[in-house]
Amino acid sequence: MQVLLVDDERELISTLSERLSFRGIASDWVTSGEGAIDNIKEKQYDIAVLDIKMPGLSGIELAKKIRDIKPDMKIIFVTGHGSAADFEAGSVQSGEDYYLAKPLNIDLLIEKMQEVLK
Amino acid sequence: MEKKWKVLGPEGLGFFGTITASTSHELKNALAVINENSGLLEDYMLMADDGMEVDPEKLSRISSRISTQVARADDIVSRLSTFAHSVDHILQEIEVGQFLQLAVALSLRILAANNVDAVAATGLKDVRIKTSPFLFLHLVSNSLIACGAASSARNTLQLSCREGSKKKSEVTISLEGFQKVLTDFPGPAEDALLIALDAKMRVEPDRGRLEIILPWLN
Repeated sequence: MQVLLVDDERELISTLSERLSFRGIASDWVTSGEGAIDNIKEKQYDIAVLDIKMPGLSGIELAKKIRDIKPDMKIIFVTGHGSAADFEAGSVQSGEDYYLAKPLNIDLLIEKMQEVLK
Repeated sequence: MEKKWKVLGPEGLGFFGTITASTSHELKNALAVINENSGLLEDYMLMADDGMEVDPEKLSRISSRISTQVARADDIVSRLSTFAHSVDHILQEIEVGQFLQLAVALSLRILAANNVDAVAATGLKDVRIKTSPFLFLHLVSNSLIACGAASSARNTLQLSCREGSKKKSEVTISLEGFQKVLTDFPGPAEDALLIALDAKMRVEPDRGRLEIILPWLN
């Protein structure tokens, strides 16, 4: 599984990337939507984990661009917004998209990654 | 007067909502970084339990990252608290520089989404004015956001303030460095804020400058 992590919080995704590697999941990380597009054009990823609120290109705008470039790539959104009720079960599914609330539960993230790839 | 409050009430609530939503998002980010680093620490402890050697330097770096984020979260909460208390008094003598910096900090995430990388503040020391702290923050934040929306990519805005010729008379706040024409600004909300603060606004689009002239209110 190849994962691309996109979030403007450098400390967050670099640490998350390290923790995923301990669990046998290879990931790259970038801190902007623009940087993510460069990576996606150059490399094959199975999943993109996108923060919704980012300066410049937002996660939602980035997802649209990703779907134009790589329609098969799966997307999981991460958000700092959302009420406790919205995220009671840890994630919300809307159409084909999954939303996870910050702070992330790494086990739940991996579970969702496996689920979207099925 | 009644008409003005009909605008200021809903606009003020909207401003409060925007700022608290943006601030809570920032707080969530700090907590998310703490959460990941605490998880990483746990990962290393499990590795140590399995007999793997863990570099103490790595543990020290994690601890330092957690401390940094705790300080960041504390700063965010202090800022939010000052903002919440800005409604405590209708009129209050304030340190203008301190409140301008608060307006910048509260608006920074919104500004970042609008091409502004930074706001360089100068000449903000020892200038005081008696005004409505909440309406002051609302007007300055709206002005910052409007100037951000009129900025080219990766812009830095310049913010400064100066006292009028007579002490305790008026203060002029200048915002400079935007490149485009301000769209629909000042609008009805800003017009109502200017009336409530008895203030004036001067926009010079060709020079990329906006000035707010605030009088000392009694």
